[in-house]
Amino acid sequence: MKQKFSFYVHNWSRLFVLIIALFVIDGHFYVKHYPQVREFLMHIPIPVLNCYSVPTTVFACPVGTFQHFLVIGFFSFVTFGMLLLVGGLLGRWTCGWLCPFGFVQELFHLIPSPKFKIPKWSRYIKYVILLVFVVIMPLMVAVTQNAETGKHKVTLVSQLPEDEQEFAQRETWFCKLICPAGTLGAGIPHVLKNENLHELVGMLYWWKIALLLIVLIAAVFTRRPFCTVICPLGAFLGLFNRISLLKLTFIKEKCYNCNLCVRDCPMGLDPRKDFNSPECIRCMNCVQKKCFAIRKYASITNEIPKDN
Amino acid sequence: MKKSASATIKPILLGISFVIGFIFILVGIGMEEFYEISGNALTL
Repeated sequence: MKQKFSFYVHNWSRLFVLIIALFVIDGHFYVKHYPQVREFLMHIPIPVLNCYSVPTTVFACPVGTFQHFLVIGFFSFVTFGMLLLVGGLLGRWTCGWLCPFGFVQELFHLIPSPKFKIPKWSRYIKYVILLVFVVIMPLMVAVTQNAETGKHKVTLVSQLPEDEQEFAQRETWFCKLICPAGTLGAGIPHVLKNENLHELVGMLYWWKIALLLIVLIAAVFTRRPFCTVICPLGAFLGLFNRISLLKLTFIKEKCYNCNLCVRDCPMGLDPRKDFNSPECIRCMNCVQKKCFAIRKYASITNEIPKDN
Repeated sequence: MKKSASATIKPILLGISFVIGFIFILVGIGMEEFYEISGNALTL
């Protein structure tokens, strides 16, 4: 039993915060009777993957918002600035303590099954996804419709005639083609709830359902596969882990090699080797009461406070 | 004791990210970006 719940057994506060965050971010019951408050909050992007098409969501998704601005030919200063501030302060902390989709993956991992490690090279895929699907494609790739046949075609904006380029239908490609959090929270409920959408269900919808199933099944066998391999937000915030105000440190002399930190890491890392890795979601599972080797601290410089 | 190069650069990078982040948020608010960040997009 202890092994099953090792993500939370030494860190119940994180489970508590994740549940509260799930209700605050995705349970609009507390603003249900105050539509103006919800209307206001929906315009605020928060640093977790949180599809703004989810019927019960309260805040905006930074990945979706960033792409949306690129699609309409602008740059989202608020979103980018917010991510710089949060990344600088906390690194990937929000992935471990607030992200609803990360929480869903952790819950799936609690299902008893053989467990595997994700190969290290796959961690770099999320940087490619960030660049290609979140930045380059929303800027450069559009969908056009043939006037005679009515068929849709994906094309580069630069290949269109100059007078058509301005009106080209660009897309938020990460949301459209990949985001399983959007499929789980928005795609499935919208289609189940609204019969008019049934006729719109096509190959793209089933592709996204398949991708969601792959991620959730993979989450049973490996730790947070989406966060490790796909998440563009995690890729961006992870870049700050080595410089952020909130840091971890490892004191070799105090380590008894009990391996508890390795066992309880939801990202499958060895915190003794790379305690400020871009993959670390700052869940603090490795900062345990019985272990004095890994400590958290906040410092602008790399100097560790003496009382640690 | 002499500081390593990374120990010097990291606080500078952190400071830059804070300053740029703060300025960007102010610029975004000034440009009334929040009106454009909408919540009802339907993606399938």
